[in-house]
Amino acid sequence: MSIVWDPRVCTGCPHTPEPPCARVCPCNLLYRGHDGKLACRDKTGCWDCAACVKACPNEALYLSLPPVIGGNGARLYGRAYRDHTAWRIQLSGGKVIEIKRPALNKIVQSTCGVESSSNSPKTE
Amino acid sequence: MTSWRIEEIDTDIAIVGGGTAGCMAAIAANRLRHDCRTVIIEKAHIQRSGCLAAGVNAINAYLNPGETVNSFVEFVRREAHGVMREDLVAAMAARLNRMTDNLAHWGVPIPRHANGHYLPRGKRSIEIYGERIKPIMAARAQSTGALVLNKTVAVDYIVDDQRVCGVYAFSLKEPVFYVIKASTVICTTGGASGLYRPNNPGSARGRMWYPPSNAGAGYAMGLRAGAEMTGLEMRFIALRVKDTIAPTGSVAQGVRVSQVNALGQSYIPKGSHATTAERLAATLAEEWQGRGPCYLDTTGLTAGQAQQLQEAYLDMCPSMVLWWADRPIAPQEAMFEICGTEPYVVGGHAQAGYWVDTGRATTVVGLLAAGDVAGGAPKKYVSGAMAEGEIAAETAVGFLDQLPPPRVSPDHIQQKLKQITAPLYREKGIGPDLLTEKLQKVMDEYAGGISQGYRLAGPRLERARQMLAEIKENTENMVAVDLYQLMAARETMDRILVAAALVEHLLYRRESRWPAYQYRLDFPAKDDRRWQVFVNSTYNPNTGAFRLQERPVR
Repeated sequence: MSIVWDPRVCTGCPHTPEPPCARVCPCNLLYRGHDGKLACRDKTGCWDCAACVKACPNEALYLSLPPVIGGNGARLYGRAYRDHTAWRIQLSGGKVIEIKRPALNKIVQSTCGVESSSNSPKTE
Repeated sequence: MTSWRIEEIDTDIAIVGGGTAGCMAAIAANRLRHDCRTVIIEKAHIQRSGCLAAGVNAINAYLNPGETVNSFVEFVRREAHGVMREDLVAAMAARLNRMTDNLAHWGVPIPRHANGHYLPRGKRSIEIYGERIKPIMAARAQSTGALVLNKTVAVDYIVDDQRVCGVYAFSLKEPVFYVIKASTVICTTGGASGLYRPNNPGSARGRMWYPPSNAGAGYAMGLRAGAEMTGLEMRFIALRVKDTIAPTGSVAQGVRVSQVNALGQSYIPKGSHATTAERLAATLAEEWQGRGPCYLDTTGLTAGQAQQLQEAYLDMCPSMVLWWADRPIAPQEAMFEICGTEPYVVGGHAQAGYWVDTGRATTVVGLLAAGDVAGGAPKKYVSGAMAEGEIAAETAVGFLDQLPPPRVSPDHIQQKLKQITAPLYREKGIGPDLLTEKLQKVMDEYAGGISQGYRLAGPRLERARQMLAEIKENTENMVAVDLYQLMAARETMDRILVAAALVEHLLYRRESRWPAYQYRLDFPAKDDRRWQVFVNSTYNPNTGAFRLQERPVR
């Protein structure tokens, strides 16, 4: 149960054949449910890789540790932009830390068409 | 789900698994022969599938200045306690740096010193910003024009007159059964997790080290096709941060911290040449002598180093950062407890896999293997898996004009389709998850899992053999309600077969060669005179029997 999403924020990405989060889950756990929003086959099988978290254009998804190894409510949000990954760590006390990590070498940024969110980022 | 569509695809090279080795194989095949048709069969989506889904923060097989192919071979020989294939390791080592340069060229940010060298993290390791490594590799592989079948589960090789000439697979999206006819098949599925009961129970069961999606399909398909396997008994058990199962290497190598017991005593001296297996065994010994739990002592880190550590974990194992946030504490405020994981079968860290020649051709005509599924060459990691993918592609391209066009009989296709899809049409039976749980319990308790402190003994292993035979019979009653469960049923069958092969290997080696990985209570000594040999196996799918044989270490 490491992966959590907010059904009020999740749109189910109706204009995509498969929601981007579901597309990239290495364990094939996610799919678009009957209500058009995200659904998970088995949260206990989640590897915590955060591929889905970073792929969501609405930042509806986050990682949180299940009570058996955590349970204090900290959240990890993240988003993959073209040349960096922006992480937002919400500590169990509520404090938020933001970290930006480089993800694509500057030299090839202009030539190599790799993963980037479908919606362009607000800032950067 | 009554009507299955059969789709036949003709190709030159079929690559099973779009992970590190598979992507590199596709890239290399295209570079060598532009007109070469390639199909990649990928169970998830190539963009984030396999071991690198979360990313990786280091390249752990790299020859920094002062290191050579020879010194790498000698390092691997020590790590493998004398049993390894020098030819395979040397061929791989010669390409490690070029593979790393490829990654930099494709866009993976790799920091460099002013002198141009990458930043070393250890003798054979460099730092990278590798969160995006998999999408970058995947984009490169896709740009070759390879046909990528995402969300497609490979189930068996097509075998015609003892030659592999393609792959059977089914789609997870719609009832489509693929018959992929290929001149050559390269298996790059990775190793096997989920054979043993994992560290975390229940709601966190997926939080393991090796990908939970790696069910050992490549081993199982090879066994069913009669391929010879080697070194399964050299299991891999990782020393990891407890609960999050995060790698310890980021800490141990990046910022030099010591490994201490509960009394605060350092039990692995600084500058020790202990092998990975010995470090794990030393940790277990502390536990058994009442001096556990053991820790990585991070309390000496500066605030800057602690920040660096958190950031590095985001590129590879984000749940570690979440663990700190959940307390909430900073990494330098408490030591991390460490533990061993459940055992895995994986040729990229240990050496379980296909017995291959220097060109990565297996013992079955038309079938090659690279990466974690290929045996005899431990310590591959990312760059070694890429090197093997390239070597296999070179061999495959060389075969292209030599083998006759593949043949598949329509009867055989219908028979296979019926066999594979059977769980969908059973009304009652056992679900794949429940059967996997049973398998993991048996392996844990009788074949040296966590609950046994990884220790093995003949009589217990014989009991495991017997119980696995019973579990195998249960697979005849597996049920699946949809295509996802059909995949799970297939994974369960594959895991059971790999576990059975593993137990045969563990029974056969009557000595203790690799601390913790393979330690026999009934044969506790390492015996170089008798056992400095490879233990290899072949499976007969008709009788269900394994044939074990020894091959000399050269």
